[in-house]
Amino acid sequence: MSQPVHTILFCEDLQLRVFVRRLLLKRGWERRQIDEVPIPAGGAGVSWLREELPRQLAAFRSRNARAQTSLIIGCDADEKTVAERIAWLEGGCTAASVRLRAPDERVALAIPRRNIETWLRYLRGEPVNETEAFPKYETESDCRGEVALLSEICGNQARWPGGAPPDSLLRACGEFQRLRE
Amino acid sequence: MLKRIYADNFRCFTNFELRLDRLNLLLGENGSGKTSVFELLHRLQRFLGGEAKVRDVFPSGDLTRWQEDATQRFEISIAADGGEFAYALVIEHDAERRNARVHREALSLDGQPLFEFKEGTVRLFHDDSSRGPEYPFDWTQSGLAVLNPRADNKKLTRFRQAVKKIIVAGIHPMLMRSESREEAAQLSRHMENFTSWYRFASAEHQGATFAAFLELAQVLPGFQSFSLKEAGEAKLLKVLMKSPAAPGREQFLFDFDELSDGQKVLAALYCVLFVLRDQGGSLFLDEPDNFVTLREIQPWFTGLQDLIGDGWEQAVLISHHPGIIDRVPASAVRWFEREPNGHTVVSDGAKLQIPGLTSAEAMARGWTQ
Repeated sequence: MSQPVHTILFCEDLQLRVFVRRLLLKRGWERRQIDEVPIPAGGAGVSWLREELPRQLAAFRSRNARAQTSLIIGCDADEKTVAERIAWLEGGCTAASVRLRAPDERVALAIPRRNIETWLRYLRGEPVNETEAFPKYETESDCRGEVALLSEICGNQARWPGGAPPDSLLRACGEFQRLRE
Repeated sequence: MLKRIYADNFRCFTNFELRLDRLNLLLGENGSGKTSVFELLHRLQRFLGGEAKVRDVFPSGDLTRWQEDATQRFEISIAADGGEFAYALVIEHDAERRNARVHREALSLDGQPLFEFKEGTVRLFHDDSSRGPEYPFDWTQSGLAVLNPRADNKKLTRFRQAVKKIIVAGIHPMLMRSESREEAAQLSRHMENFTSWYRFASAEHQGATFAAFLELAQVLPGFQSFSLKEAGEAKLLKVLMKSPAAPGREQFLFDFDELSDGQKVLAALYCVLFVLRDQGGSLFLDEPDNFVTLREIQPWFTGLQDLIGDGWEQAVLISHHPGIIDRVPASAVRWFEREPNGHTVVSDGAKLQIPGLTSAEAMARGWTQ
């Protein structure tokens, strides 16, 4: 089986970052293979992520030329569709004369719609839709059960908990395959 | 979990209150009172552990300089077993004679009294809140510390256990030695008894120490394990290292003393992390990032964050390092500040929230003033 590579987590939201970090650890990453880009105090938002993205991509490509590395970009879709959010990020990259990603690059996009809480509620077996904003968890680490279930689903050891999973979650699962050697 | 600390007339604390969550980072300028919180907690632990008389634990020299009052007040609240313990201690000082006595010491659980020691008389309450015996007691020490566990004071005993399970420490690698003469169930204030604590931990929490070895093998190149070797009446902590550069003699045994300061700190950080996962409790750690390379801070800190989410009760850190400061949510920050030579005031992390800057950048620029 392919091995995890050193992975940079670049998320605009703390809950999303904790969720992805815990999932990577469940899926075989060592803690030292994961590095997190600090989030500005008081939260950052998608605008900060879009502005910072070209710099993170440049650093990733520089490093990846010498040692296998991956980059996970995480941000909520909010009121946009996932495709619209990606296009918006690409627009920011284009303005900085940087490509968001080549087809074979280990750059994965984790974009929950409407936000990470949509995925969490779904994984808890609650009915969700991708347009409603669900309340945040009291503590980010309270997502451990949801992460454990998703990890089992990724390993074909469990099934989706309720109805059809949110499209954005399915799409992110596909992105996960980009991360391994 | 320690939820609240209150202090009045102790160093820079006058009518000082600190409320804590599961993860907190105490930030502020040098001398703003962060470490004094740890010192206060450690002293309360010593007092409640019956280790010393009140005048030795709380000397008059620690009265707030600019206050005339000779009375000191301390309170802590601890959540345990679904309830909240409230402990209060009032000390009367006689600064001229360098003496002090307990004016009042009280413990309650969810508002129901469990113990009161006032003006030389102890009043006990049973677990069902009914009144128990009263008797005169020595004003110079904790009346709570000397009580023996009984069937009808389990709540009171539970409080003392909860206090014992709080680790208050800073890591001073220069003071950490290979030799240990006896096991220690608790880490000392500066972790100078690390080897003695490790002796205890490796016997009581074998799985946890093994997990720490696995982690340390990734952190310290060549690290295999710790072992304890007899040396007369003492034991020496040895480090088994592997070196592929020496074929035929691949494994070497070092004294713990021979590790660098940074390696000692990393060993302590990971052992504490995994042992606490096993035994529970709260960790109050002063500047864990000292001596540690930038590369090592994040993995340890995210490990700590995840353990808190996985049932570990609480971590309260003091740090000046961006690797930690920039990785805690604003809600976890407790910002300490003082007027010049005045008392300490605590606020949330709002002052660090400057658009476009990380918390560490805001602090480095001094824009938190």
